[in-house]
Amino acid sequence: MNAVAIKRAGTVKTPDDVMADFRELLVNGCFTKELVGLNAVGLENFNQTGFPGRKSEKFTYLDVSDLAKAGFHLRKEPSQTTPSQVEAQLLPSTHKSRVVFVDGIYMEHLSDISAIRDQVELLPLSEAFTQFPEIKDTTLQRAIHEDDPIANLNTAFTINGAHLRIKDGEQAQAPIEILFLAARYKAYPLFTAPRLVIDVGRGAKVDFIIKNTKEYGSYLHNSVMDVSARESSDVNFYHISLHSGPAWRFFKLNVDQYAKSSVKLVNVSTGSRISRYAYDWNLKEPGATMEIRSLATLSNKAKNHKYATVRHQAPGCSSRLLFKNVINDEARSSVDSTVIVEPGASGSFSEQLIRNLLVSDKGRADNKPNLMIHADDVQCSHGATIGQLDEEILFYFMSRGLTRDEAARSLLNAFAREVTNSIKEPYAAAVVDETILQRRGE
Amino acid sequence: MLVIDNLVAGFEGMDILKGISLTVNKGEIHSIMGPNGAGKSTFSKTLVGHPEYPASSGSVTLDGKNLLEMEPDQRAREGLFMAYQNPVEIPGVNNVEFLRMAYNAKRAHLGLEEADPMDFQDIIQEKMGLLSMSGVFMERDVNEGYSGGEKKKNEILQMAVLEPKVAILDEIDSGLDIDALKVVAENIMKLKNENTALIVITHYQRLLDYIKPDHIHILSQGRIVKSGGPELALELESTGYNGFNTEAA
Amino acid sequence: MSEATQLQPEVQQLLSDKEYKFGFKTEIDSDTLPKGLNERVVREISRRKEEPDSVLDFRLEAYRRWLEMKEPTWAHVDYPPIDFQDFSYYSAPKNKKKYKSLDDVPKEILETFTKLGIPLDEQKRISNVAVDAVFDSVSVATTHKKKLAEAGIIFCSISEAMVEYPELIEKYLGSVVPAGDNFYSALNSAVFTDGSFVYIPPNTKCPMELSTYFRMNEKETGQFERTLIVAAENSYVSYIEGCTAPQFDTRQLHAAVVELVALDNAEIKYSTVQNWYPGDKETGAGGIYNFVTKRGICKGKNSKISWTQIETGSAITWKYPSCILRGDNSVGEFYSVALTTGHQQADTGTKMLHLGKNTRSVIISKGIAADTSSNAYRGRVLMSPVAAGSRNFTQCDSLLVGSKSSAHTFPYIEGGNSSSRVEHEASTSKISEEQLMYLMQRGISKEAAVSTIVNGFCKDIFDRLPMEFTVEAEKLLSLKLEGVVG
Repeated sequence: MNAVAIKRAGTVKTPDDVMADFRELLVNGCFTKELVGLNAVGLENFNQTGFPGRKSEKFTYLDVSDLAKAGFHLRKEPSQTTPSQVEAQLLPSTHKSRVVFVDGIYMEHLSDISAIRDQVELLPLSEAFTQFPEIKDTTLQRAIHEDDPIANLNTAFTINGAHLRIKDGEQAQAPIEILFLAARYKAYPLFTAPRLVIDVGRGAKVDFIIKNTKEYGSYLHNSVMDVSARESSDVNFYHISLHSGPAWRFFKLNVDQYAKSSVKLVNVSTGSRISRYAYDWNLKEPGATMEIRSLATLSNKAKNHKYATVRHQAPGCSSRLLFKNVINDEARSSVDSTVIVEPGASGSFSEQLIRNLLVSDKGRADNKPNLMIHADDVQCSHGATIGQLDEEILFYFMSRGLTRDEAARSLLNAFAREVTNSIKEPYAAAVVDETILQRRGE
Repeated sequence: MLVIDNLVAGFEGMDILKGISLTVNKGEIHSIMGPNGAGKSTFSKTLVGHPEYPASSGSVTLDGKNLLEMEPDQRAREGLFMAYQNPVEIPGVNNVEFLRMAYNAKRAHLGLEEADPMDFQDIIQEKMGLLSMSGVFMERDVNEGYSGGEKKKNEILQMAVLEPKVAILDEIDSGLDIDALKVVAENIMKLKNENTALIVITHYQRLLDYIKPDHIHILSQGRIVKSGGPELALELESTGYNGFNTEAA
Repeated sequence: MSEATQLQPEVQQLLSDKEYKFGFKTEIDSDTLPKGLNERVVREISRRKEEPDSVLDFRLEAYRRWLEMKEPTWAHVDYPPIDFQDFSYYSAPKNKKKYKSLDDVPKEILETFTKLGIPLDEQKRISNVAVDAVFDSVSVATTHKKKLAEAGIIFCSISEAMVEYPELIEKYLGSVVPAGDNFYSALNSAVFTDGSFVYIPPNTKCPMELSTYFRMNEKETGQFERTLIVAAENSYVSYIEGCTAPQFDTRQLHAAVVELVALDNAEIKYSTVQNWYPGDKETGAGGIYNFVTKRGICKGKNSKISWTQIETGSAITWKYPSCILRGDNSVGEFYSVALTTGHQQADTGTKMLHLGKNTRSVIISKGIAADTSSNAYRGRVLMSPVAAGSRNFTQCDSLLVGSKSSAHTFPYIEGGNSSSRVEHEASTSKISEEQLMYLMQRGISKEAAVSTIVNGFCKDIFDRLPMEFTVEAEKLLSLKLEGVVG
């Protein structure tokens, strides 16, 4: 049996139901034995909360009740995939610096880091757990404290993940692409739970590209990445998600940053049935800086949710959060972000900005940019807007001979570029340019 | 009489002033001149008690009272005044109310009765008359939305109201065009009397065309490298600060 | 400004003391129900107040709803559980139930008001301010009634209104804050004892500021005021609420409800200076719990409701004066200063619900947190899909004084349509070292400098208050900031 159902479709599953599913999968040998301890932690945590309801603080703006009712299948063995199928999906720059998951499971033989062999170590998570007990400890500790029910489902049902380490002082010679492939599984939607643990060494420098351009139909992507950015490291994430079909897509990024490290994330997405991007970020040591720049262009009935928590835990750290949304049709965007300056984190700098262009009456933009400040020598600001294209600028453009559509497209592109210009990897930037920027103004 | 003896002070634990000694008598005008980074602004900030510029050794007394032991507001009430290079804006605080508060703080210190708003109007009108100032910007908040020239004029008005024993003019000429400079300098000279001493801190000689110092001190790398009479300014004009740096080395 | 100071010597004197001056208790017999809450107590309150059946029904409905509700926990405040059976829900001065004129009012009560600086006595009274004084739960005197009556304006205690104007009460009571709206408002609806009622008839501009001073006296008496203001077509009223309370060791619960109704082209301006006892400076013990529901509806087109609040008191403040902008072109405003010192906790803000076309709202909030206090802004702006052409602008700034205080901002910016705009901006900072230094260099003490800068920070809001209260608010803020150093 190659796939096992997580059953009881049609009604809202209780933690007991999920537990029963888990047992059945366990009996069927779906899990990797080195990771079962981790799976158990996730299951235990999920049991505390169950599926998030409307009153769940993290899901105020996102209704996931249909997720709780859906029946999914978990692949015991990933579907057959050839290297050429993988390569067709990759950027030209990442053929020899790729980490590949199929149906949520890490694929050692499809991954290839030959271009960055001297700087990077890559292991299946199961092996990393066996070889380096401290990796297992850290991952378990993080998992124990996870309070996001969907991320806990990942922990409970992840089969095997990957561990990536960028060596101290090294600069990865090529961007690393993390590729999530999924098979179109006709009978039931697929549940994928990829897990990545990334450790960027002291003074190391690396760019990651996570790109999703293919339509896999109705399935659940639920990934979790745990990132440690050591002292003075420099990390960029370019996360491009351009499918907008019937998928549920949950992405969780946990980041711990140490002294003077810099981690930047650019996220460009077009939304899907449900897309949720959750960021849990700790600035643990002095001088750490972080940045999120995000653009979502949503149409039809797409639901896009961003949830971010950034904790300033040491003096002199800075955080910059920018969320931009273009909302068409009956699409919904919500951004719920909180910056917490913990006691003693003096000299903190933080800015949050949420900007929505709402171009339809049936669309909706919910925004909750929170600040919690427990130290006095701080400079923190936040802002949020819901609005439309500036009529005066449109008029100005039209007075110079542009049609209204051309003027609007030009303004929308300008709106998008504040985010897309931050993608410094040329091939990734090109993908965004061709798709996102062309799409706008449709 | 202000006596500064072997003052060592700095910023973030680094000594910038490396032993300054200077005596300023009643009614005298002293000018401290020096290139950027010489320690001019540390000097003025340490004197007025800015918490980020503490003195690490040496002494400063005003009429025998140890200023270094005092909080900034106590120093001010003892008669030390600084006209700021970049006066800070304080939104929501009316300029006249602020001036009255400062005036009354000093009155209280001297054991005198506080001035009520009506009395203070008369005082301020008189001072503004003396300085040929219009009352328009007095309606506004402290320094908010003032032009560079207005800010400087407001500093001098404060000086007029508070009648200090020693006024430090910190780069009062910066950011002023020649006409405004002339007005500000003339106003300073109107306020100057036998009870008020001035310490004029400046990079350029041009201010000294209007405010004639009795003594000039060249500050370089945290030390007074040369003191002299008004002729020193002319010497500086021809040789520049480099000549003095060499001398100091 | 100086004129206003002269107008209110009482207020000035009142504020001159450093310690909380209003911590005295009037010795007077009172008629108090035993502690506890049940249906009998609700019926008894209604019976004693000789209310019509419709009001009793409203109370019972609220009581039943309250029983099913849970105390809300979402606010960013922390306090031990409240035992709602440990309060007495009715307390009235014993001598007489109602006072026809000042002569009937017991001397001790008048003295209390004199100490508080409330000018009940006609000679002493501030010109142009009418006072409906609330002593514990029963209104003891209403001034200026005659002048108001000439204009057709009703300004009386809500108890009196229930007897005299049952049709207005039936129409509007609970129309903005329904019986089961939230836990505290439901409690209030069940047991409210008194409060103010204002009705401004069509085409009438109320000729004076209306004002109520709240006064809590009876130990361990919950206070459940209910205020209802109705401004009919083309009318205007400005209403001022001032609060002060005696010092007690045990907690006092205050759960008021204020309802405002503005019909076509009407405007209501509601100002509050809140200075309930905040509890012991060091421990926070004994302060007031202030759980208030204030809500207005701009029911008619072109109507306007403006809330201005200066919140400086209470151990815990839970308060969100809100506007339902139902009428087209209606306007909602919220201007707030919330200062917390000592151990105070405040979670306050507003809701602006845009339901009508071309509705406008403005929110300006200034939060100052000093000592070990916690100060949170929580605000909701909702643009409904049909609120075409509507606008909101929000600005909320927080100032931290000292490193042990905390300031939080929780905005909820929701909804939208293709022609509405919402703009929200917020910042948190501490008092600038350079500003402090500048003031101190001019001889102003650090304490006075902090107070001056904070007052400057709040200036925009103070300027919204009726003039005599601007001075009061500034002094109150300075008073509260004494001993607080950044």
